[in-house]
Amino acid sequence: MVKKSSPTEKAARLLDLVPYLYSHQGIALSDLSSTFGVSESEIISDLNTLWMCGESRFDLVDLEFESGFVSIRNAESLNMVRSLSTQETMSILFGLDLLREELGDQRADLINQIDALKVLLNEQISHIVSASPLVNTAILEAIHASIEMRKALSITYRSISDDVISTRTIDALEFVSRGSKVFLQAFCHSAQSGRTFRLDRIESATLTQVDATKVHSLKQSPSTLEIKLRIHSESRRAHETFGNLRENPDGSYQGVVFSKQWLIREILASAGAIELLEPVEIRDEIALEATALSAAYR
Amino acid sequence: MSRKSERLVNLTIALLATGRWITKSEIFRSIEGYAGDISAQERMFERDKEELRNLGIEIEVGSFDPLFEDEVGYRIRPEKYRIDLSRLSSEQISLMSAAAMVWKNSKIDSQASSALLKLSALGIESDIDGINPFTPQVLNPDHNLDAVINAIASRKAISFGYRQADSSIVERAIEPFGVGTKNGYWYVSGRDLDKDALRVFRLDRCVSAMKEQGKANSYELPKDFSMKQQLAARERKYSCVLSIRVDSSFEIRRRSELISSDDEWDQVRYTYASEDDALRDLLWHRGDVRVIEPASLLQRYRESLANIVSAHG
Repeated sequence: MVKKSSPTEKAARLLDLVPYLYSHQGIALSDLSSTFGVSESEIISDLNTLWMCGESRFDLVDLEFESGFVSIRNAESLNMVRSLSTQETMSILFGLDLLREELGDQRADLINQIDALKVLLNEQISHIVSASPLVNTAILEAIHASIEMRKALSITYRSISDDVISTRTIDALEFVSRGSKVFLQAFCHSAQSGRTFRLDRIESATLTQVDATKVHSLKQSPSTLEIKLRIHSESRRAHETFGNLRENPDGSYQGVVFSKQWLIREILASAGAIELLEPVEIRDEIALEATALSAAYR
Repeated sequence: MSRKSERLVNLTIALLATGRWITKSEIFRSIEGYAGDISAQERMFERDKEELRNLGIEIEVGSFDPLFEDEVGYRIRPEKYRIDLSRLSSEQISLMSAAAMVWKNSKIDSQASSALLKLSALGIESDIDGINPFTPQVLNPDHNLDAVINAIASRKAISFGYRQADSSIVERAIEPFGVGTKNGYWYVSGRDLDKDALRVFRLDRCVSAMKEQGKANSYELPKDFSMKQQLAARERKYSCVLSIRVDSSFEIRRRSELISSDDEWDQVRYTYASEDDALRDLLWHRGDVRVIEPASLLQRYRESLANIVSAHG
């Protein structure tokens, strides 16, 4: 259900409709409604309202839309594209900043244009936004192509918990976000099952001519690990790392993680601030490992 | 409902089309919808002016005769109302369209799509090669982003609950100056009202919705403020010497310089911004990393190992 626009939003749309209709005479009602992101009945109501506007009640805007195609006359005084609002300017500056980073030093001509444009749009506002892309466009384009053309993708992927950079063949399926992170859900040919990849850890992606696997059993059966831990010294990092665990009445935390290697690394990296209670075998392993690491310095 | 929008549009037309100041009484006479007695009409007119201002339409107030302040007049200057095309090349307009498309399908694309509509209303065909405008970036906007952008646009202070480094939640209030995204996170920077200093906050650490406080235009954006500078990576001004096992520790290698290597170990100089960060990174890499020097870092590293052992003993 589309939210009904307020009278002010409607007025803004009416003002923007006029120059748009002038430059798109004869546009279909359906195209107009999808361009402006409102229902066709709302657009018809807009046009009926606009039809009652004008410099005086004897000199109204002349609209034609009964045929399903819209044309406009006698609204010259409104046939001006409104200036961009601060918010609109900011959204464009964000985009320009991303484009600029993307282009790198490949297209000096466009970079110059972008810099000139930032000044023209609003030099001051251009300093208050900053954006850098999470992944470069070449990787994104390859992923989009894999999803749309149903072709396999060859990627190099950096796994932080395993400390390896590996090459895999995958069928990209969709982007998913969890918290602030964006992942690519895919079918991994070498594992023959579903896998999720953190987007910012995909180092390269090349589209292959291999067709995507037809039957996908995405039922990932990741080895999960039921853990219990205690936080000795509260920190935001501990909260953000283990935020999905539930708190027990005794103050310990409990839940499921997906990688033993990752778990051991996180516990070690906390430098004693987090104590792993269960599984006991991993707890013992951590104690042994820290002892062995110390021994290397004697 | 539509009567009000009709009145707002008619008011805009009247104020735009006039080459001179027009008075309130002329407005009430010629525009339909200003009903009731004169004070009711005036209240309506004041509200309408405010609404148009919120849409970014600037209404100027002036007097016919500077010597006699009899009745003031109103007008909208077309050159302020419309996009100034003369300054923009068609290539620049295409670049702006491409930039607006970056937001496509993301949750807060409403500002960008209304900007895009205005640009396409200019009726200029895109003429840029080398840019594929249909590869939207995967941005993961924060639910507070819209509120922050609106607060900056109207220069209003905001307050929010913020998770501090020690995990406690403290109410912070800022005059927001800028907003940006890096490594997939969104940040706002501004003057912290309690500390009277510039601070940066990560939006996903704001645990409550943003509350606006005070009036619009209550501060100015400092001329020398740069969001890019605020988000610049912290300078890695310290370094240490490590031994790292060959074919391991990729994250360490990215920030290191190779000194020497043998079959099993590489010796590298690793740079870092703070000792705490370095310790975390070294411990994370387990037995693949050995600390050589400085002695102060080695000592803290060994203390950390002792803490791990005693916590798990």
